Amino acid sequence: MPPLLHAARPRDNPERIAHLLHRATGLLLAAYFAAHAAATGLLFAGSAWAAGAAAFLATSKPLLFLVASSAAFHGLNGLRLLAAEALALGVGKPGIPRPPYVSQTLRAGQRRLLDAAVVGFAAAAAVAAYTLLTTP
Amino acid sequence: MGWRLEALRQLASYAAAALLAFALPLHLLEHAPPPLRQPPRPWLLWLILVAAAIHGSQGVRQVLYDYLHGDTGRRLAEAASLLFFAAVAAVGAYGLAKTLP
Repeated sequence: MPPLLHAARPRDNPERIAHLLHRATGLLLAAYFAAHAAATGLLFAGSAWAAGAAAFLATSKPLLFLVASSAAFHGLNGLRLLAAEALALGVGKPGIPRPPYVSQTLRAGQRRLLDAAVVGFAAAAAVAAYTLLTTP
Repeated sequence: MGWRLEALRQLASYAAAALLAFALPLHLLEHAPPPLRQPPRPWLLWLILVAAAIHGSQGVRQVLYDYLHGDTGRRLAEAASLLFFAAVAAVGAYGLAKTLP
């Protein structure tokens, strides 16, 4: 199986999906932020091309929805990663490995945090869609 | 590359992420529908620019490090990360300096 597809198998390990989504949404947000900063900066430097690009970046509803929902997932999952990696919260206690050798960290509180991040992401995406659809 | 510098970069990225988690919802309120809308805050835009440039450049570098190996690959990743940081910071700072009081 190709490495990317293998990495995307969710069986017993939704953290793999979260890792891929975190990376994809991060790259999307980095591209949007760079384009947004560049278009705004060049706009005030007098570039006519930048005016069109800046207006598109600020008004395209499908793009704004994609960015808002990506930011929600990246932010909420990022808080889980911050808690687990930087503060060692929700990673469980170490124990003697026993069959079927499922890592303690994959059964610890961070799994609940991942569930909460997915629910929060769905709610934020719904709010973003509603706001964009009802705003002229 | 010393491990202390690596650790410092990662800690800076975590700190920038925490700042963004605080600043981006406030920035969103500047574009919310009228009942919730907040006036623009210049310090918030500067904070977002700096934090996003730090967090984004470290993130781009991490992704590239997973795919580029060897001395040349690592140098390319470092250069791309530095370029991302410099370009976003310079152009963004220019735009903010021109627009904000």
